[in-house]
Amino acid sequence: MTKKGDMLYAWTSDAEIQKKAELGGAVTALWKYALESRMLDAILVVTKGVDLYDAVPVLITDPKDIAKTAGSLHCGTLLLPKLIKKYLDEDKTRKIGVTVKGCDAMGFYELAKRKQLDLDRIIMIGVNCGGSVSPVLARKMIADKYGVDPNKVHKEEIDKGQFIIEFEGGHKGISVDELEEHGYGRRSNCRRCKMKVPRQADLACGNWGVIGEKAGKITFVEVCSEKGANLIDGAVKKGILTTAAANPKGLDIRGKVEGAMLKLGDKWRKHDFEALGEGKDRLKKIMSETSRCIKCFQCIDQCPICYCVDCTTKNPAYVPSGEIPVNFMFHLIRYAHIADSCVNCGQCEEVCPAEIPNALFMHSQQVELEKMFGHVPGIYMELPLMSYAEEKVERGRLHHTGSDMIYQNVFNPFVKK
Amino acid sequence: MEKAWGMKAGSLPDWYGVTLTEQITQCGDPIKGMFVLGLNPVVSYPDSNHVKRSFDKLDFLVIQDIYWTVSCQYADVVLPGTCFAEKDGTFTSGERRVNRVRKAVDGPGESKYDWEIIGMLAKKMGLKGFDWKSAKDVWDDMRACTPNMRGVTYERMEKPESVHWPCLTEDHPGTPILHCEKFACADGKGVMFGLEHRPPAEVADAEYPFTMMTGRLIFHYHTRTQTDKCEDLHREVPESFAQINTLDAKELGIRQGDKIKIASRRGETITTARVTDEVAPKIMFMTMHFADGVNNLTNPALAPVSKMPELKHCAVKVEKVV
Repeated sequence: MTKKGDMLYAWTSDAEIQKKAELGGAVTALWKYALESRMLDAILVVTKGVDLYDAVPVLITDPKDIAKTAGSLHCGTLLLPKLIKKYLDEDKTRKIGVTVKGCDAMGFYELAKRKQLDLDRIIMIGVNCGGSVSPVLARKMIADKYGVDPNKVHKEEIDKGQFIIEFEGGHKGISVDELEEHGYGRRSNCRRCKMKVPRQADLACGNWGVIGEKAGKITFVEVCSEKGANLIDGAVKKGILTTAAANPKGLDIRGKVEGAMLKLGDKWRKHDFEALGEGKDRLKKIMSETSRCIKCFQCIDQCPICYCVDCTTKNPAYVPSGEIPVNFMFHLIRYAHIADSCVNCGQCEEVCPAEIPNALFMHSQQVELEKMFGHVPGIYMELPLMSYAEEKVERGRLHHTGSDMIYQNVFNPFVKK
Repeated sequence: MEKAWGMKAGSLPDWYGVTLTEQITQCGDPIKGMFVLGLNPVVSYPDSNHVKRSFDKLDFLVIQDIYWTVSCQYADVVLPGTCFAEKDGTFTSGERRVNRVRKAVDGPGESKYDWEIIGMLAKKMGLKGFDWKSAKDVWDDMRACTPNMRGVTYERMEKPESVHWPCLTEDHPGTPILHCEKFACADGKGVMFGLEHRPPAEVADAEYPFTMMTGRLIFHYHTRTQTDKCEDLHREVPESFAQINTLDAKELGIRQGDKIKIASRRGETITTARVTDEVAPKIMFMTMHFADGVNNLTNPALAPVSKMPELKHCAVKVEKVV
């Protein structure tokens, strides 16, 4: 019997999955088992779209389709929890499995603690993530730094600190450090990320810690919950998955890889936050950069913390309508409402048509708030400070309006019953 | 084109027609019927009263659009087209990059793809070569008769960089930058020449002492046919307004948010005053997005060569509505 805390090696015995999947196909095999056994109704995974640089979320309900989605992609910049909240959870009964990166897992926790998703109906298989690369930059990087036509590349991977591409007629790796020195490489939020092994998920999988001749052929699995343990046991019993205890030496190496990645994250945090300056200088910088905002609301739409039905930024009493440059209150509202819980997923920056470094600004505030108040977002189910601050007042006000929907009442804050 | 459409040689005109603004003036004589595709001239053209009078003179007016517009009131037939999310096709940007647009949802009701409507009409008119099955067929037809775009295939548009025209053949790389190193003149150098300043056709005078400028807002596109349907954009700027300088406003007793009546030699509009120093004294500014707005005032005088109407400049007077 598998139990929470187990460290395993796992691989599949399913011939079809073996053909397409990487690292022994453990994740794909677990999902296939979950669908076949009706443990889950659907699996949300990211798969290759028109080319290697196009990551597309797909909802799989037929276990036969799951093998097609196997394989990793580093040029996808999607975040899955908000997609489930917005589009896939209408009936509030469907049980969904999701393959998650660290930022996805943190997003799930943030939405769940705000009662926007029910984690009892979700199984997360986490995969180690060293970072992702924006598709447009990836194509440019491959053309400029590798001297290879990006259309001719059929596989990419990040291994041992290198971004490696395979193309017609060869393969080439360049160290991520060198790429990033030249302005290429991972997205800036990924560089600052310190959620490399998503242990909030039910299982945390990856290749770190698989050593010797097994390297690259099987998956390292850390069992993080009872749900995860049950999933493993079921798949093993069904004969689709084989497991073995992890090599203690491998475990040690896994810890070292993770430690090195965390150090690198710290280095980038120092680099990025210092460049922002301090105090008034930082404020000036933020005000100047955000003055490009065209109020498209995409940062709010994609944010895994935001869920209000009526956003305060749309209330003309706070942010005057029709003004460009947008009143800075727009951004202050975002900072005030979100910064304590920002998980640095980078979505607000990725989608910004004005190319404002939104994630950098929000993340820089989150780390300061964490220092001050000790609240750590994305890992525990504790609510942030903000949600306690005005509770008494809010409850009183709500009592007057006769509704329990805080955020549906922002436009009529003083309407009495 | 005659070959592509299966027409006899010489059946298409070999002379240039007239520009859009001139067509409005020629409504009734000699133009008897008009087919307007995705355009709302009653709001977007200069001198709206003139446009309305002109449309009344037509024997037959067809408008094809994705929403009911103010201009549709003057149409005999309105044909429902489909919007960007409801059809396949291409968009060509100002940098000459041709990009694909992909259908996401079906169009509402009896709406049809633009090319379906045109193909059906062409068949009724007895033309050959309109048996398109898809937007790609239309594109392939077009690039067959457009040398500059001949090499821009749907397959090449699958890549995010896509292709910039001119792209003469399917192995031509396209032209991201049009003028590199030399201009298309005999000696490769650009030709510079001076122009005498010509004042606008109508300038402010004693009777109409203000200069009205027009422009756009980031929150709306053209006559708001699409953007005003978007809740967020409507909320940003739901109605027309006019900017007037603080000194002028003080002199006329106009305060922030007052209703004001603005008149030119061609018409008048009632709107809301925004008192500001963003415009200079004796200058006013309105946006072109609103029906019975600034284009009730603007002047249809044309630039001599380009025939661009003088939309950005006309003389007006203003008073407070009591």
